[in-house]
Amino acid sequence: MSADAVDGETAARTGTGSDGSYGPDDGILVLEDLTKRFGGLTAVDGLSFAVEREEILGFIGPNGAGKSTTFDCVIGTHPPTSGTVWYDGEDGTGVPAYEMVERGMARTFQSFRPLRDRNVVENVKLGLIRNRLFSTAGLRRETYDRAVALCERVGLGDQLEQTPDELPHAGMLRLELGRALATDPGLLLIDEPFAGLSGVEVADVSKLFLTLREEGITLVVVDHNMRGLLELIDRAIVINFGSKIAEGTPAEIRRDPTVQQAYLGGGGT
Amino acid sequence: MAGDTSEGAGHLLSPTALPRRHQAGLLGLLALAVAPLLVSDIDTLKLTSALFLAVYAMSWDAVSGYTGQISFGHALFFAAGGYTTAILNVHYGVSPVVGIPLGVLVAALAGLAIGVPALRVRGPYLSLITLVAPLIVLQLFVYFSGFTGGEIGLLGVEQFTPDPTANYYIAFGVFLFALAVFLAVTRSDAGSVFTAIREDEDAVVAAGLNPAKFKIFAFVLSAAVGGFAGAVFAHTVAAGALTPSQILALTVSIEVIIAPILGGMGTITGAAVGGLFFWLLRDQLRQMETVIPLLDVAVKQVDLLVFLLITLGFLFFLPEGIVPRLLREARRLGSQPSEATTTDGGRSPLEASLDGFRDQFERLRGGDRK
Amino acid sequence: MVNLVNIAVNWLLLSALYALVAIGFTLIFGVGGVLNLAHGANITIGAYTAYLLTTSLGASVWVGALGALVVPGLFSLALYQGLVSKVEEHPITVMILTLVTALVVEQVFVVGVGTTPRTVSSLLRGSVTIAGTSVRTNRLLVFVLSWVLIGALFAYITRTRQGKAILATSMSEKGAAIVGIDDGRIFTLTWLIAGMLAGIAGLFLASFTSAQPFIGRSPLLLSFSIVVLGGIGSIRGSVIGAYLVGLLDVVTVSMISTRLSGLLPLVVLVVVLIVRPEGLFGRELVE
Repeated sequence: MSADAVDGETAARTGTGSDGSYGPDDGILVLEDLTKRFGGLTAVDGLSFAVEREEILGFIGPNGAGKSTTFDCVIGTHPPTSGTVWYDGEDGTGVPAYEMVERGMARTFQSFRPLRDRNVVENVKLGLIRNRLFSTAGLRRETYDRAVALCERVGLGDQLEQTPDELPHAGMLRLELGRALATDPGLLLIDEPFAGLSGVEVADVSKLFLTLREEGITLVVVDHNMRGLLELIDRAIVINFGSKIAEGTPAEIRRDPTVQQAYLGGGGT
Repeated sequence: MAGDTSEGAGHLLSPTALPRRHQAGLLGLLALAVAPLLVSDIDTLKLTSALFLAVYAMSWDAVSGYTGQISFGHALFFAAGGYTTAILNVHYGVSPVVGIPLGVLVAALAGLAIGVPALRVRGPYLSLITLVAPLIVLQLFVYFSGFTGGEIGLLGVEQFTPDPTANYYIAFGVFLFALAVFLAVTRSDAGSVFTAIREDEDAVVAAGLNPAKFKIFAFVLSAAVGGFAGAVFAHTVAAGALTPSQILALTVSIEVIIAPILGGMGTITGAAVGGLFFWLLRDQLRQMETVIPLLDVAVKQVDLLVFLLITLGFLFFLPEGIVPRLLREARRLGSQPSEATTTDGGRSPLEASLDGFRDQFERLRGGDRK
Repeated sequence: MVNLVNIAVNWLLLSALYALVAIGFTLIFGVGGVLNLAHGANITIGAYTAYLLTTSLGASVWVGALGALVVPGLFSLALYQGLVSKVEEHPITVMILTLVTALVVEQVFVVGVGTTPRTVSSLLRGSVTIAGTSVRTNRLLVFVLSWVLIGALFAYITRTRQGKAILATSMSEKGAAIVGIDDGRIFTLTWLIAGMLAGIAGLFLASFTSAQPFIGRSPLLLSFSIVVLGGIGSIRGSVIGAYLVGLLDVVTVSMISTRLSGLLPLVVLVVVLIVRPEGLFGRELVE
């Protein structure tokens, strides 16, 4: 599903919510007028957009643009100051993060944070545990097998017993993905996955993302330098200073003067 | 066994197929089961007390060793259980059969009373609160000594039976029960969540799990089992008189911290071993006639001091605990490959707890330290 | 009827002593980053050093006072260098180690000197009359000396180079390192000062109660409350907190019951930690 094929559809949606507002059914994840203030600082300023089901959306902006803060508000780490977040048609504003994960939203951390006291498969297993106090230990074998399957899905099938310390950088990313996938998400927010990866690894990971999308998961990928990203995504939202400055296909984004001025510095990828 | 990976459902099959450490554990249990038949009555009494300490230690480990919420006042829960049933028994004639479950209930509520505020308060501040709560209760106890017996203790508590062997087996039953409960919880998924909370609470949230729920659960479970032991203690070892020094004093809280650390924190079995070892060591010192050179005094006259110094030595030179150290040594000498109490190359529970504690500490102090 | 002058004197006096103890505790926490649960031991050592110097060696009370200043300081120093500095990366280990050390110190005195309370000579004899009530001169002297020490400490922290280094380290270790301040020396200095202050407070306290092995316990507990109320690392907070907590305790003891001594401050501790952990003057918690 390349950018050009859906060009006609997305053209109508370029620019800030042209028809005014967004509603809960405009996509799997819909933000309306999301604002987050910390004391005197406005990190996110009236941000509105919709993420279509099963698309791969790029969420782009220079450092400090408010991308991580937006993620935090969406997934529930911090409640927003104002605005609404809809997930899968339901209001998710201010819902605690663990509950958003239960509803089907998962995220990876930019600074990989695996649990260092256990190996790869045990790390992934954590995501499979249900939020209930009493679960039969007897299910462990089945849970273990599912964890192994997940590891294989993200390409860690040969490193099951290794600890995170022993994994290379790309392996840690795969572990992050494995843990997130264990929660059976419908939407995956991926925070700066390509940092520190070689060209080959970027291509591999992109292929993995495409596979996940084919399996029905919507992906929102955050990055600040667009390397490798523009080939992967269907659409992009570009923000700066907490507001949306552009929206459209990668081709349109590349051409957009506001974007170029804002931070590409006139250069492309 | 914190890093115990799947051994499948077949691990209960045959004793000889078990990993060596499990075999050792079973042998230990067997030894405990037949002990009264082999030793004198006095020694049976001592082992009974040691068993209670082991249960208290396991209860501490279940919350502090596993979730990293370090409690400095666990005696509060034992006393909640013990004194509830004792007071009901002495002042209102309530039978232990009713008193003990009520004691468990009160202890569980105490666990809630500590566990809920604990969510708001982190690291050292949490420990400070846990340190102080039983001191407040103790002082109130002394103030209302007419009702509670104060420092002298509550007299006239019904004892199930004066027979030392019977008391021993009651204690052993409590020990087995506690061991079973804690092992079941910590080896199940809840246990993985507990240790994950200790490692990185945000990761737990990201896995769709509510850390608050599990943290409170750990406290309440720990308090309930500890309170159960305290309640049974009141009607067995207390021998008719329940005093704060047995069950509420600061020394008790300190003992249940040191025992699991000595034995190996975050393993439950280490706490059990630590509790038994600790109590028996203390008892040995109390009787030792050996005279210390230069000071010209018998060990037994200064037993507490010697004991504290030995503890200090252990804490300093063997911080990971006896059981993990023994397992490591056994691994080196023996042939069993991956039997570490921690996953290969991973961090030990003590390290994880300490690091997590330190991180919280640094954030609290608002500094950009180390 | 309760003698208000007596209550006031007690309050002013005891609070000053508690302030001396609390300041050391809060400095170690603010600068060194650890809760030194053996801080109360400094009090005990100070009291007994003075006692032993004056009775066994027949020294003058002022030599005893000097001893009460120096010996606990050295103990505190040795505790840091020998034990704590090896494990200061792990505050909980420090808490446990220092707690056990505190118990060891108590036992040393139980075994070495005995549990019978020992009289420690006052620094001055006689009494004066204030507002119609007779007050022992020793108490006045102790009050004045305590405040002199508090003032001296404050001047030291704000005016001298080392003092300012301590303040800087307590705010930001990284920043202090950039400016070239040596961590290790600052920590050592802080532990030394804390030990000295608590030691002399121990002498003062013992001079109008008596020296017994557990004399350090309740002042330490009160210190917890004072430091939490006043805010970590804040000297001002410790002093004001000491007077607030002192007032609470003195009133409780005089009006209600001596057996409730120390109880309300502990309750205050718990409440403050839950409701406003940074206390009055502590740093904003960085989450």
